[in-house]
Amino acid sequence: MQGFTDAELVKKYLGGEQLALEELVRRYFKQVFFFAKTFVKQDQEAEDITQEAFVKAWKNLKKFDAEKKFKTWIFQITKNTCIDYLRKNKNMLSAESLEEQQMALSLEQMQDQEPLPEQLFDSQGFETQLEEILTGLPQSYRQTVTLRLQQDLSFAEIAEILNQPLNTVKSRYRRALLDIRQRLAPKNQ
Amino acid sequence: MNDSLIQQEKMLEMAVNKSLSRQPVPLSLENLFHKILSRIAAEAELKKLKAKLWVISAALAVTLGVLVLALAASFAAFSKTPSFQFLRLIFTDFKVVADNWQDYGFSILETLPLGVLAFLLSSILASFIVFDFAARQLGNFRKLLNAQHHGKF
Amino acid sequence: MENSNRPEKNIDTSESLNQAHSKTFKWIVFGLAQFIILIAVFSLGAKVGFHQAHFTESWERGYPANFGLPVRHSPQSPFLNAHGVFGSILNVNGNNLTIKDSDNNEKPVVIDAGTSIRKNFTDLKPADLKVNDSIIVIGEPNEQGQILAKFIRVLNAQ
Repeated sequence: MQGFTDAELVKKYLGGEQLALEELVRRYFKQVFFFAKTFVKQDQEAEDITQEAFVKAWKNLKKFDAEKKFKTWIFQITKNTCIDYLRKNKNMLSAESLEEQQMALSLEQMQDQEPLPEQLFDSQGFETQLEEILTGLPQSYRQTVTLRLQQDLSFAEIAEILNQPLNTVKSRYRRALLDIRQRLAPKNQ
Repeated sequence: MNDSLIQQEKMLEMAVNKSLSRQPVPLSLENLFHKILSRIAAEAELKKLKAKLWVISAALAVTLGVLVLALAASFAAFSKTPSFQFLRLIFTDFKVVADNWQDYGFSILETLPLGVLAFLLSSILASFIVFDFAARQLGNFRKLLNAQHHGKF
Repeated sequence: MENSNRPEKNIDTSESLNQAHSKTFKWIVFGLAQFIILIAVFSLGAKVGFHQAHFTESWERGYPANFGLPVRHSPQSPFLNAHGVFGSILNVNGNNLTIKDSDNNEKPVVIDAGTSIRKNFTDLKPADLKVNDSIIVIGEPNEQGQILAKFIRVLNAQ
């Protein structure tokens, strides 16, 4: 089963091969989990969302368009499931957009950036500092960065998953990197 | 300047990617794969049961209809045949019936509306079977629904 | 030491054998019981059918003598009930009654000294029976196509 493409696996499963579905789940469940974690804080919540997303995908497998990427499709489902979950639990999504707006404003007011000192990347404590910065990013920026760098998706695919305009995704990504750079920069810069 | 900024951006992306990859993997993630498959299997079972329930509902409706018909036919048949009149004698003249049990027995057997009786008993048997089957399937359905709700958020 | 293991093995084998025997035995008994019930029911059915057929033949043969008509007559239904009548009295002639049953067949009923006649909680005499009375008769058929009444219950007029 490992040699087949996602579309072939879907076709095989619809033809009655149970192992094809197992392979599909095996390929993506961790990625879906980590993507769900960008929406929710608790591991248990992310697990529940992951289960729910795969169940929804299974229910709609017949409607899957073989021309599209399975990964993009399952991530879209995961995103919608996360939004439903957050709405049900009355989490304030709007607070995130406010945070994003404030960050965009502060980045616009920034002066032109100087490059970061190269030794910074090798310095002690860099990894810890970077981790803290990433955790502190607004959710939508963190998602975009995660999908781009960790999940290795293109901007177009990210735009499709998050149902956002392509330029919004690109500018969000740029702002995220700018913000990370700004926070990493030594204080005298 | 721009080249170094671009290069640095690449370094930053690599650093961010490395940081994201170092995210702690929860222990429960190992079970998540099996949980997902179990959940899908349960949903598939539920789907089959839902389809079965339609059939069971139809069977129940038909069985009940036939039972009502059988009861009505039996009532009509019994009231027409003398067997009902003979049966009354058990309550009004039990001693006489007991003294002449052979003749009485024959008089009942001769006048029983056997066809209608067979139809009634068959309907009752079919009802028992269908109700029993329906009850068991409903029990399974409820168990699966409960399991689904416990797993749901 | 070796010998101590053998008795346990024997017990296990014999237990499973017993179980198998018990299961087979149950199925044999169940099957036999079903067969016996089937035979009994069939025999009873055949006996009832024979009585009805025999009485019907007697009734046809005895029709001229019982009803004073020169020719034999076929009943309205293929078989007549031989041991009981429910109907209304068409004719009273001393100890002989003619009853019209629910199938519109006329049945001759004979009353003798042993016949018990009741209406509600009262005992009646044969002379108390009237035409158009609704009655239930339990009796025994004879070779003349008549029913020898053992018991007659007179119903209240509806």
